[in-house]
Amino acid sequence: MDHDIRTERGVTIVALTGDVDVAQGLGLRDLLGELLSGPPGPIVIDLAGVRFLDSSGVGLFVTSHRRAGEDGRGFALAAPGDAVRRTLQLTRTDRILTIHETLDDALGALGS
Amino acid sequence: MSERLTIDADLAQLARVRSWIVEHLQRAGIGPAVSIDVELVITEALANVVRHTFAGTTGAIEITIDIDAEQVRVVITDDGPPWDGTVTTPRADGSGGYGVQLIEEVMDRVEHRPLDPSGNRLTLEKRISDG
Repeated sequence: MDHDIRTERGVTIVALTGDVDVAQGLGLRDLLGELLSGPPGPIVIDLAGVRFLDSSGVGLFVTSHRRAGEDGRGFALAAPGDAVRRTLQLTRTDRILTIHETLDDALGALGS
Repeated sequence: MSERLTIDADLAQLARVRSWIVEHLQRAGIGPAVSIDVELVITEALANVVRHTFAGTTGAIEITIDIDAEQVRVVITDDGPPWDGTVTTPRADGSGGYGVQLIEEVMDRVEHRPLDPSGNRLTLEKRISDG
């Protein structure tokens, strides 16, 4: 798993690429923890480049979503592919998390 | 078609197993819906074996995959301590523990068997007609 962070329209965009599984869990947890401890403002996880997502990655997204909610910060996922969407559906977290079809949709909802 | 792979009980091996599984599913002409599910289930099952059965100790895990006209069968055999089949359900705070629920929902048959004197065998079957 690789990641790239940039800011657009006041939104911090974290673009993940590759496979997100439990082997990368600590790195992703630290990355999200750092962003959620940083300056206020919405965060979008761009999943367009993610080929595979396991339930441990989903758990990190749920934890981040809750923490962002407690802090009054927007947090959303964007552009999940078929495999990623399937994991979100099977874990029923598609009912908890905010998920946008495209990054543009997410920026439209959360951006300034 | 039957193929076998043996790996160390190490989470870093998961990506290698996924590549191996996907290669065989594609070669057998299995469609993306089944392939996505099998890849996910094998990852969850192996992660459970590494984290809970071996729990930081070393060991070996053997994975076999059999594909015929009707189903995909994956058998995961480890040489770790036998366990009694107790499973972890999703945690109340929604932060994790989804793996076992997911495996049972996706697969048509899930059977865990402790081996004598040591080890475990997990058999996972998915009908191809499911998609």
